[in-house]
Amino acid sequence: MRRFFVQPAPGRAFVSAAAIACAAVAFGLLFNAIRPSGIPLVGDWSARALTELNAGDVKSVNADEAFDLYSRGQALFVDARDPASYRGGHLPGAVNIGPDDVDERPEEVRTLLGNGRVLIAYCHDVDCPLATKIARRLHDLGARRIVVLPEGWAGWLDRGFPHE
Amino acid sequence: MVRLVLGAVFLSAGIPKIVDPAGFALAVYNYHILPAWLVNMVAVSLPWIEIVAGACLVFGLWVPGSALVVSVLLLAFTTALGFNLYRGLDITCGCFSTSPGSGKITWWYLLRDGSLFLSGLLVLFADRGRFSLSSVLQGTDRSHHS
Repeated sequence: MRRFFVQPAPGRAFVSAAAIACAAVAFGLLFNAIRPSGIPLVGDWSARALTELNAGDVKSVNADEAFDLYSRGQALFVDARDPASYRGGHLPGAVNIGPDDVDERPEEVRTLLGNGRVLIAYCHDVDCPLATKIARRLHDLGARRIVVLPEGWAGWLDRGFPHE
Repeated sequence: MVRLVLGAVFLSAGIPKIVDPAGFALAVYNYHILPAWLVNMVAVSLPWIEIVAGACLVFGLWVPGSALVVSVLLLAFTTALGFNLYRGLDITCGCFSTSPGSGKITWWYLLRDGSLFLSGLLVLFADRGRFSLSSVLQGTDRSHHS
């Protein structure tokens, strides 16, 4: 009777597995190097780069730049966190509106968009996606001067900037 | 038969990742397992390993080697997926598509990876070379000769 389990030569399987993997990796690296849409071999995965990646056309500012705009009276903060966090403390003059509120509160959105200042969206910190989401929504609705503050509430507090 | 299906699965998994390397790199990064400096290199190489191993399986070339590659990959995928399900990370699978809108990871994905891993082992230990390129070309089935 024929054996169901053939006895593979373990050494040869490892050698050819290694050969297949090496050839594929070499080819992948080569292909990436010559294709126009190739990516850098070591990517920039910093907080700011990540936020900008998710934000599409929307740019981001750091806490210092945000504070600078604010102190010149050119900034209006958009707090994308939940209302409870907002009540617990927020950036000066911030409007509390999350990505899910946009459709339900058209009046407020219109007021925001008609405001002449730079809208600065933030949420808790860089790991929270809400600021990027609301910024994209508002951008799509026609807001041209809107940026994200990736460091968010936590970063703002770290710098000792004023809050209410 | 299992070998053909597994190979086709790997071919179809690899192609979208090659088409959109930046999207796949983001999916790899979001697993939060690899150090940042390694993310892009893996994102560039991994799809080609999948394609080459998948093609080898489909054509029946170097089957023990490619089955080993596929099994090791699936073990790694299953572990990474399980680890992130366990710590509750809300990420996309990045398995067959690089779009951020594609499915969030669930236990079903873990089950899928687990069963694919078992089929990888099955091919590694029990494949008899049926439907392989050489047997098709020769009009014979190698399993009858052994």
